[in-house]
Order: sequence, then C-alpha cells, then structure tokens
Amino acid sequence: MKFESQLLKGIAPVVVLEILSRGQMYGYELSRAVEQRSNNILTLGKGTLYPLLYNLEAKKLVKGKWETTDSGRSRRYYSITSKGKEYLAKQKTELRELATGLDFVFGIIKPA
Amino acid sequence: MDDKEKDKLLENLPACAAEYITLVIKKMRYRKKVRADVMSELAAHFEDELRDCKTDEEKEQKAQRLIENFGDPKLLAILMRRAKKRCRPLWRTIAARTFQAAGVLILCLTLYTAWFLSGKPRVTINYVDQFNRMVRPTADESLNAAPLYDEAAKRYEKNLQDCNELAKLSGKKFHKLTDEQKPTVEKWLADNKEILDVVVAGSNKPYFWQTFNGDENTDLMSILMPFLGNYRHLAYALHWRAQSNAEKGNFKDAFDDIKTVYRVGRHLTADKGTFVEQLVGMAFKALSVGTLRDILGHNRIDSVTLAAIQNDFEQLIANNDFTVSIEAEKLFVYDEAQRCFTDDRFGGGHLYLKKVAEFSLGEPNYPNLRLFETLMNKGPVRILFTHPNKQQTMETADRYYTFFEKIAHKTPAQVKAEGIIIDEQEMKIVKGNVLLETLVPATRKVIEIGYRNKVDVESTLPLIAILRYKQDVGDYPENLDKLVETGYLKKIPIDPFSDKPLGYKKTSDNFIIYSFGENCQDDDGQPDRDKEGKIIPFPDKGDWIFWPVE
Repeated sequence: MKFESQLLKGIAPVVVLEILSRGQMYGYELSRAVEQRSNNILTLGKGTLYPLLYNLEAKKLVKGKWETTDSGRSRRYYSITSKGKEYLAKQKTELRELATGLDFVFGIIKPA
Repeated sequence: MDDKEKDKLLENLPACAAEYITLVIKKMRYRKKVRADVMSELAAHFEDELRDCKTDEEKEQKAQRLIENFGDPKLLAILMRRAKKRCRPLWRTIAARTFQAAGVLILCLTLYTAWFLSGKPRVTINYVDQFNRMVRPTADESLNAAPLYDEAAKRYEKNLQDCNELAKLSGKKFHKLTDEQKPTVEKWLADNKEILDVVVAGSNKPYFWQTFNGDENTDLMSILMPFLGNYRHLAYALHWRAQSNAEKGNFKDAFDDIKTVYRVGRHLTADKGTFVEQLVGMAFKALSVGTLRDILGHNRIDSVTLAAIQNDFEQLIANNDFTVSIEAEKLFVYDEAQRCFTDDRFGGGHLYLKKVAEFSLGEPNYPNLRLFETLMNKGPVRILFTHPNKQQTMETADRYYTFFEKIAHKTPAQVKAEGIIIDEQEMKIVKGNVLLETLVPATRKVIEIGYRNKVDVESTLPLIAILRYKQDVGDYPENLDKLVETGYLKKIPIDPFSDKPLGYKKTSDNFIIYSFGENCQDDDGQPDRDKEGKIIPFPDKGDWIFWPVE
C-alpha cells in the first residue's frame, strides 16, 4: 500500500531503529526486513533508505562499519547505539499513545 | 578509490546501474573517501537486489525498476551529501566553515582592492586660476610692483653668477662682513646701483601680485616661487647699502633703503598669498627694522633726523594688517583633495594611491612629504577601509581652516587666557586623516610669527621716540606714557603677547623695550641667553628684547 509520504516521514526512523534493535544489518537487508516485518504494508523507498541511515548515523542513533560477509563481500553494517535505544523507546511510547488516540477517534475503542 | 577499483566494483552490474551509481557519486561532490564508501554501498545494494536474476535481460529490467525506486540521481546525491556532512566531526565542520569564510573574505577583499585601485580622480577646478584671482587686486598692471622686482632679480642673478665672491656673502649681515669683504660688496653696490633703483621704484608701487600659469592639470603644489629667493638677495643688497651708508654717516640714504626693504616686505604680506610669501615678507620687514635698530644702536643720530624717520615709519606701519591670511593656503588642500581622491560622482571617493605615491618618489616639483610611507606605516587596512573619503576630507579641511581663522584673529595672550591649546585642537580635527595630517602647514607657528612681526615692527616707534626724548630732555622717560603726554609718541603699541602696552624699563644708563614673548609671561625684561651669554632672538621662554641691541 502506498502511504502519503508525510505520514511515513516521521515513522521511518522509528521503524528502522526498531528493526536494527534486533540485530545489525546492511542496507539491502534492512529494506527487505522493513517489508517483511510489516507484512508488506510498509516499504522504504531506496532513495529514502540511505539518506535516512546517514542522518541517523549523524545523530549518533546508529553506527556503521564495514564488514566482510561469509561470501567474501564487503558490506556496511548498521547497528543501533544506546542513544538510539533511548530514542526508540521514547518514540514507541509516543506512537502507542497516538495509535490509542486514533482508535478512540475512529471508534475502534469506546471511551470508558 | 581509483578508476580501476571503481570499474571492478561496478563490473558485475548492468550498464544502466553502473551509469546511475556513477552519476549519483559524481553529483554528490564531496570528499573522495566518503564518495567511495557510498559508491561501495550502492553497488553492494544493486548486487544484492540483482543476485537472484537469472538472465541479463532480467537483470537489466530489475535494475531499471531499482533505479526508478532510488529516484532522481541529483536529488539523491544532494540528500546523501547533506546527511554525510552531518556525520563529519565538529572540528572538520569548523575547519570547513572557517576556510569558506576565509575564502569569501579573500574574494571580497580582492574585489574591493581591485575597485580601490581602479578608481581615478576627476580634476575639475583650476585652483591656479582661483589663486591668481584671489591675490590680484582690482588694479591696472602698471601699478604692479612684481615686474620691476622680477627685472631687478633677473639682473641681480646674472651678476651673482659673474661674481662668485658676492654669491658666498649674500644673506650675511653687513657688520658681520670682514674688512676684506666689505670693499667687494661696496664695489658691487656702486656698480649695480641701477638694479637697486629698480627695486626702489617697484617698492613705491601701490600693489604687488604674481600671476602663475596653469590649468586644471597643473598641481598648485608643484608651482615653485624661485622669485622669492631672488628677492631675498635684493633685500640683503639694500641692507648692505643701508649699513654702508650709515657707517659713512649718510643716514638719510640709509633710512631710505631701510624703508624700501620694509615696503617690499609689506608688498609680500599685503597680497595675502601663500604662507611662504607672507613669511618672506615678514622676514623683510624684520630685516628692515633690525637694520634700523642696528644703526640707531651704533650711531648717534640727531633728533630732527630721528623725528623724520619716526614719522616715515608711522606712515609705513599705519593701516598695516599683520594678521596672517590663510585663504590661499586653503586652495592647496582643496587642489590636493581633488587630485588625491577618486571621484565617485557622489562627492565621495577614496584615496588615489598613485598620486599619493608621487609625494614620496622624488617626483620633480613635489615636496617630499613622505606621505606614501606615512600611509603604509599606518597599515593597508587603514588606507583601504577607514581613511576618510574626499568629502570627509574637504569637510575636515574646512573645519581646520575655520578654527585657524578664529585663532589668527586672536592675540597669543587671548589664546592663552582662553586656555586654548592649539596643537591639541588641531590634532583633534585632523586626526585619522593621514593626508591632511601630512599636508597641512605649521599654521600655528606662522600665525605666531605674524604677531611676533607685529610687535617687532611696532616697537621701533617708541624706540625712536625714546631716543629723541633723551636727546631733547637729557634723560630717558620713566615710562612710555610720558612719551605720549609730551607728544613724542602718538600711542603706545600693545604687545599681543600680553595684550598690554609694550614692556619698558629704564635702567641706570639705558633702557629696555621688550615683549612678554611666546610664554606670555612677564619676565621683567629678562631674555633667554645661549651658553655664551648672547641673547637668543625670539626664544620660547624669557622676554623678547628689542632694545638694547648687542
């Protein structure tokens, strides 16, 4: 499903950090993981992926390093930092509250 | 990463993918290492995406879809460059910004300097013409003494070349000549009576003015006045003749020559020309009265003759304006302002260094004012950015001359009483304007010399009156009021250095006439003396003594 870019804009960093929190990945791996773990609901445009990763790296939420894979190829792996974990936890809390609020608005949850 | 490594990285990718990645990296325009890393990442991503493709055609198609997904290469490059810039450490950011700022500054400075050096002045006013009109009275040329003086000077100069001996003596006072030198001088005086008669004739003309040739391109400051040097020779020749006649007892002829020298001096000061002309005129007047005092001091002259010379001098001095005129000097500064600044057509304009440099490069006809070195010592920043422009310089010049106009009309005693410290005020006005600081003359000193000249000249009247009184009454008067009471003197001159009547002290066998002098204090007629005990003429401390003569 193609979402409005503005809707995804704020979520993309959280999604990436959540996936990286489960283990380091390189760029291609990460973009596949986003699709798979969101049940193909979310897709990260390739033109967004790398700029996003570099921005997260600049904010010290992730760190990248070159490693050689089992197949002998060099890939740049990204892993979440402790600062990234703190940021992720905070953002997840806010998004849950947002989702709850929307559920109330849409009538999915009825107020007590 | 060199080209070989790049090719190796992209060799397994379809051409369109390799092209796309190359384009993105090229558009990124960032550090090589960073671009190499990004290139490796993108190439690895494409490899991973295309790994499962079985045929080249499939690879090509999937690569195209992937390229579409990545989007516009230029936009991607911009986003990645921005993001990578944020990754750089703070010190690198500061260094980069500093270099950028320095680069911008250097560029601005270069452009500014190029603009600064490219401007040219626009000379529009012919100040030579203005100067000529300023000094010329409304009178016919036949009433001008200058042509006669110039003729005499030309003939004298030719004689000077013929007589090397005379050339060495020119400027020496007659009583300082040796017994061997005096006959040489007296012979010359006799042989060249005609030249001095021309000077006498000139001195009896009512006016004097010189006319200079020039147009807008003629720098007023480059105009020389060699005639002043020649006039000086003539004045000393007349002084010699006066002293020579006095030694022989021909006092009437001696006094006639003294009056001629005074009249020549009066011509030069009356035309209100440049400071140089006025100073030379004052020097002639001083030579005239100095010669008179010498003769009176070394000879006994009868009362009738003294009365006649006193009367003549009263008429010569009457209506003399001893105030120094600064009008002509202004024109020099205005002329230099239009030559030393560029013209931006709004009245502004910055320094024109080429012209300024001429003042210091030994250009003929320019005074070596070391202006260029002075400017360089102040620093290029001062010259380029903070030196006042043309309009500001003109305004400062106006303030400067307005200030000195007021000072010129105050006696030194008034200036002291009002607590005006002229040098301080002057510096305050011109401070920061290197051009004016260098160009303006020693105006304060010239004004002071004007007042000195006044008291020097006016002191001759009471001096002669006292000598007459002594001869007639048998003693010197107790005070100068006595001379007025008894009709020997019309009025007592006022000393501008005290704003009181001229100083007088009767001694046991003589008298002292004095001025308070430069320090404007009454030292009771005590002069300043040198190591040998000789009175120093016009020192900055002690009184100025006009009588007795040494």
